[in-house]
Amino acid sequence: MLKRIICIFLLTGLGFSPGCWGRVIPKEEEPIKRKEFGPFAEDVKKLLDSRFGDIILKAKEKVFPALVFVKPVQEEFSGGERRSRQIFGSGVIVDPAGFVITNNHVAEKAKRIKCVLATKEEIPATIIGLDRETDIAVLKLDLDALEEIRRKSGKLKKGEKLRLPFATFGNSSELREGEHVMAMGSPFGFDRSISVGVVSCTNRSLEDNDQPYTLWVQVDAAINPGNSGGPLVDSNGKIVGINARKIMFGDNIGFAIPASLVKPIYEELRKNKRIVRAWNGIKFQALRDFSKDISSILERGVIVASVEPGSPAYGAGLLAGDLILKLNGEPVDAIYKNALPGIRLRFATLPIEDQATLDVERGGKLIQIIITPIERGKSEGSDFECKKWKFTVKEISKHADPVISFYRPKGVYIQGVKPGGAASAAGLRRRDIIVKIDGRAVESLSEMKQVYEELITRPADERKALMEIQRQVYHYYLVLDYRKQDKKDEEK
Amino acid sequence: MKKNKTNRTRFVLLITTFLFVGAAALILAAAPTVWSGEPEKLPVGPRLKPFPAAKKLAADPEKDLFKKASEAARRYCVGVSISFTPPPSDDRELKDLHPSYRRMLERYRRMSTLLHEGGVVIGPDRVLVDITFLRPEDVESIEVVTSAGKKHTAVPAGLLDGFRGYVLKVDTSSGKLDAPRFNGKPPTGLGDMHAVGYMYRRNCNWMIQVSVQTVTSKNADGDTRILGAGSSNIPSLLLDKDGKPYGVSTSWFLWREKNNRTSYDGTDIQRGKQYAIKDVLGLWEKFRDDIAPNTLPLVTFVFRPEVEEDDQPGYGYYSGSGLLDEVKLYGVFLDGEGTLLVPHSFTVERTKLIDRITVKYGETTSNAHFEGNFQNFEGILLTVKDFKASAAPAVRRSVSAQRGRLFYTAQVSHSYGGRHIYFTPNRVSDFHAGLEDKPVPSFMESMGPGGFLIDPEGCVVGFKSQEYSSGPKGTKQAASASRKTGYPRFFFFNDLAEVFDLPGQHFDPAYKVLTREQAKKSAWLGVEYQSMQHDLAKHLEILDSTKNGMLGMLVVHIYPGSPAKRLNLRKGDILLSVKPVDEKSSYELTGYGGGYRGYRPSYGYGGRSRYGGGRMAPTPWRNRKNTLTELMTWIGKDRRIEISFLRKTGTEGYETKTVSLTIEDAPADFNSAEKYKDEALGFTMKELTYEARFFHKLPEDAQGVVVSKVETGSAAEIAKLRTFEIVRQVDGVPIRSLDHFKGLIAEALKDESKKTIRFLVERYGKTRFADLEKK
Repeated sequence: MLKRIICIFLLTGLGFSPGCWGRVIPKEEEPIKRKEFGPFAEDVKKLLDSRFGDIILKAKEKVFPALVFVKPVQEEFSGGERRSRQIFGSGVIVDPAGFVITNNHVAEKAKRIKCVLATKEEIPATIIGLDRETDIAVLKLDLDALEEIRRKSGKLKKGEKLRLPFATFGNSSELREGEHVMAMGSPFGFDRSISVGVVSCTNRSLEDNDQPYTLWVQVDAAINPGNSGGPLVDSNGKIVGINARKIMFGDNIGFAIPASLVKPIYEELRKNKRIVRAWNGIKFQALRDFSKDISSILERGVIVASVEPGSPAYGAGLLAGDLILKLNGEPVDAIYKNALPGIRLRFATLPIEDQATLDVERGGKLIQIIITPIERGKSEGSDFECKKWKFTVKEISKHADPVISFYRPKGVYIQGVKPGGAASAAGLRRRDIIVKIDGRAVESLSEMKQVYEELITRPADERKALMEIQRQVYHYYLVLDYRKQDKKDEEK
Repeated sequence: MKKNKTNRTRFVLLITTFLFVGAAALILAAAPTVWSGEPEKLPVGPRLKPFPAAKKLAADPEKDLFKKASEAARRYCVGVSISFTPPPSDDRELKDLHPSYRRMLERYRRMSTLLHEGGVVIGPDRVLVDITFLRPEDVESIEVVTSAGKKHTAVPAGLLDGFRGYVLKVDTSSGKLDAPRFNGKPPTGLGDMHAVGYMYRRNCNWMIQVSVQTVTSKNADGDTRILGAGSSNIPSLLLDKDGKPYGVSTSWFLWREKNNRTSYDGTDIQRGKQYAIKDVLGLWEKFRDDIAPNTLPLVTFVFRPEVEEDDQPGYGYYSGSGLLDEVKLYGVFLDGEGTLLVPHSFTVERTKLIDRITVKYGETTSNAHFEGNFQNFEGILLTVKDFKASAAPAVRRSVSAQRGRLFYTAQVSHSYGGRHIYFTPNRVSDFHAGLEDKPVPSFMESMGPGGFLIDPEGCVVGFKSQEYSSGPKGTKQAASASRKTGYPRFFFFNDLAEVFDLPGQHFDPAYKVLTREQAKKSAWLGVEYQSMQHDLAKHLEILDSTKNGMLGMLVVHIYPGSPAKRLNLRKGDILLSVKPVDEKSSYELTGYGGGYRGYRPSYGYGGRSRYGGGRMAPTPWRNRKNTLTELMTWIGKDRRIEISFLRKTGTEGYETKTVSLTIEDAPADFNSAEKYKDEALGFTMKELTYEARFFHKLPEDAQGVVVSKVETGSAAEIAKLRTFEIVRQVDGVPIRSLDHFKGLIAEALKDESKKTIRFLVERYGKTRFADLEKK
């Protein structure tokens, strides 16, 4: 009797289980039909339309083959000497001719660059153009080298043409928060890695002096060092951004440069090898800034926070505190911080040496100010290594070194001192501005080079120089004794 | 016949040998005493028949004296054993005892042993021991034992004026003590014989030590010296060449000099004044309760903090400077009009910060005025305002140090919330040469700083000032003479009579109490400089003029409108020394001294402030308080000085030049600048001073205020206002001065229509707007 009851119990239990098991495997779901709601109907529709599976299929299929593992050997001067190091980044092929987009901070100062394609072929690449302000770099793959490799390995037969997979740009302005995106790249050197996330914010402005024109796409896909330069792909398989930044110690907070900014820069760099921008010397401030409690009741215009002395705006009579309402007749509004990159871009794209009209409100009155922007110039000063003195210098640039250039607008400053060398023994330090060497003024990198070349050829017992340097606003005199030059250096 | 004779001689010889050997054995066995330096043993008991040669021995004066001396010693030296009572249950009463006395009690109580001391009989019922002090309630019993073995009990009696030691009163019920008559005569000539005897305890036995010496030196005045005589800490009986006692001593150097005597005439001791211990303790009680409140008042010095809270830049945190805001010391009234001496000095810097001095005497508390700081010793003179004495202070200013005389040391301290005084009997032991070759007393018992000398009648007759010297004179002479060695510390008022008669002439002018505003003033030359270093001096070929690279301040900037600018000093000049025109020597300007490779001072100021630095607010611009300005401030405003410096002339090298100027007050700098604190908005602003203006590269006429402090969580912090930034405009109005700024803030706060105040802030040449929310 008991046995039976148990048997029945077991049987019924077993009977249930297949049914339970059946639930785990998902079935194809029916598209959910809902009513249209409110002003966000389009977004919701788009969100609901784009399915998680799509992103894997389309994005990966379309862009993954165009992903490139970029391996530049970079030269850096910050340690007091000229050093090479290998860094890892990512890039994406956007043209069958072999043009690759990556970040400027990946490709800059590279001695040589090698790229590894999806087909595991490693070929060299050359830099076509760099733009520090938007952190975009354009490279070109050496297709001849690729052809050679393929012909040798037999992958490419005679008469066959080389075909390179490439990705296309999408529309980053159509991105919505919550939309699935995929980031591809080589985080920490793990090449060809894919991470997935959602768009966290479509128009993030970072208080970054280095990238003033970028309105970032914030994503929560894992972005790590090495992802720089890789594509951010939407569910249509189009590039909507180039991954460039992350927050240290933050989880899932990564930033990508939107395609709307990347595309024109890429085209410009491809054509002209560099971007020419206008510079006025105006620093803008938004009407309302929640992080600082700045809040005004105004609804139009943008505040001039600062006018750089000696700049075109300064010469035109623009003052800090002015409210710019129109630029060349077009209204300029920055109610919130994230309108500022766009405004800066408008001012930066003004034609150089051409007059531009600003409608300005000052003290309740409307006035017109004419400015003539000048070329922005180099974003960063060039580097130079004073090998025998064991330090490296950099030309002072008002864009890259605002504080140092405040203390001395023109000249060179020490960017690195090698420990144990003549400079370190003399007491020279990073960020010291070189004013005079043995009475000779140093006001540019070329003058520095000249003085250096002359001084190192002095006879051995005269190898001492009086350096006048400037630390912040104070001057110092130090004696550089380089009599004990490394014998090995003599031979070099 | 012959045979018989030889036999008898042999027999006699044998007997004599036997007798001899027997006698020798007896001598060896029966001698309980130990002799010093003598190879032979003196017989005890009946005298042996002298040998034929012994006639000479007996006539030996040394040995004869020895015998007599040892007899005398045996008669008049005694052993004293003291047992102490168990410690009291409430040890609070021990608190008022001198620490060294307390330690002695503890030691003997802990070990439960007796204190054994040798003593000398000075009267039929008086024994002298060399103990500083005994309190009757600490003593359980005292036993006095003579060399013959007779025991007596004794009790603590008192102190002798004129001789160090403690007198015990012996119970003579079982018989009086054999007291010496001290009818001997002290030795006067070279080679005169002399003997010393004393009793001491060794290995649980009492021993007597006797030694014979001669006078080894004598000078024209008749002063004599004997070396290697008695023992320190045990009274020794002094005997003349006939073995007659003439005195007592507790030193093993015997001197009889006019001002220096370690031996005392017995008759003086016997006839000398004795202070009964009860009276001594009574006097001390009286001093504590009645005399001290009106004679040794409590003086409280209240200081301003070195860096006031509002002056400390930063983000709302104030870390205290660690220095006391209040110091409590005891002083002594010098007269009945409220002139008060505090035997202590502060540094010049601290003295400047004295805000208030209050004096508590009797039941009254009043304020006191700082008169000055003495330059001869560490002491401050004050005058108490509205002095109302209920009794004249017990002070005697005409007493001088006299050797041997009894004084009491009162060590006064402020602890456990009140006045605490430890007393010890003390005496001047001798004099040594001190400053300017004047004789300076040294005391038997040491005294801590802030101690006072009290005479047996309970009047204050002197004081001890603090140990170390921190005044400018000390640092000035630091290179040549060490102020510490041989410098007198304790003084009898009489020795300083001329100082106290005209105190104003003996003050050190560097010590001044300044008001808050005055204290912030300093002198300036108006330069920024870099200290000379060896390799720099070598490169410029000025090693000789800069003493191998140790001297020199290389001028790197001249401030507009400064004395340096007016004197046409230039960048590149090397300042060498500063000399006040009315002084003979100059002050060399030296930095860290350069010297070894690899060490470079961060700002190249060179040297720390002589006055202990003090805590200056850390600023991004160089502090205006550096060696040069400190030196000029110390020399003093309106004094004329000459500065010698090196200047590069053409291609020949450096030439030494001189300029002279009158020291003037510096304009306000960040640390002394006027400030304005707004509690509601949470910031402290200071007026824009010349060094901040230079640092921010602002033109001379640029105006604004400097952010000195931002309180955490305030509107200013939320607006991201940062310290050391410059605020140029308030709501579009350019700021003209700190007062103007105050007015603008007040107006903005009143304006109901605006919710925020907009500042235009400048930093590194760039401006931005910061909106502060009004609460």
